[in-house]
Amino acid sequence: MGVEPLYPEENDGGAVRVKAGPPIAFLNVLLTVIWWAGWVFLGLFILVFLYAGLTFTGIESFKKSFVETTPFLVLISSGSVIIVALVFLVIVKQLRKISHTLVTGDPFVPENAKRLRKIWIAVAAGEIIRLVSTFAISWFSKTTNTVDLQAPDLRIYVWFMVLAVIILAEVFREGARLRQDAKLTV
Amino acid sequence: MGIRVNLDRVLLDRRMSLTELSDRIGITLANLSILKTGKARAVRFSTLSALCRELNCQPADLLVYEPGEHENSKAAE
Repeated sequence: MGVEPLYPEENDGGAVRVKAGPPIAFLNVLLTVIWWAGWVFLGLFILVFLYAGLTFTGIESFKKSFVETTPFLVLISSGSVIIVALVFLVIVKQLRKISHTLVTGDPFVPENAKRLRKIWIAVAAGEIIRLVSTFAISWFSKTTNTVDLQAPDLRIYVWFMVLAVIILAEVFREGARLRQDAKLTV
Repeated sequence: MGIRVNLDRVLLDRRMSLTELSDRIGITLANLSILKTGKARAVRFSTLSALCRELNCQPADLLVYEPGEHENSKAAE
């Protein structure tokens, strides 16, 4: 909801409007670079996934290129990397939108609380997918004796990060509510 | 909410427009409109004081308490 400031001179005050300084501009550029790098990374692994998938068509020349591993293992690992890359892109997209609100002047909007919520859900989902795929690859390599891979590990710091983002999302939600209250205080 | 703002009635009595009041007390027209239409969540004492000064009235002339359904059910408990 667009509400004009109470007193006209508040427009000039630094407390109301946040000017986009060099750190924010740098962050924006960095996020844009990460965003496009993520797409390139995703594209590469889609190609690897398709290549591994082509071996199942029965063409011998495709099968010969897999020496130290099996096409099925490559298919599972590249598939899980694609999912993780998609999760990563979802997070970067939300971060770009949050960064954009920072540039336009008001980051305490209800949408940012929702975006932070999407981020923690994406991080949690990515970690669960990683755990499941690591477990699947580990199980498959044990049964076929192909590659000796590490057993799935529970990364506590990732879950701690999820908890931190949950708290940040709630702080933003409350901040947005207070900001709306302040806007409607005459 | 249980508080009703009588700004339009007081303005009518004083034969003053919202724009004129806005110029006099230095509050934007948009914010006075929020106050007049009852969308405001809070009123600063400084704003109330400026309104009373320019409209030559008391806070009670501008603000009226009207118990709503929520307040009525609470009182019944």
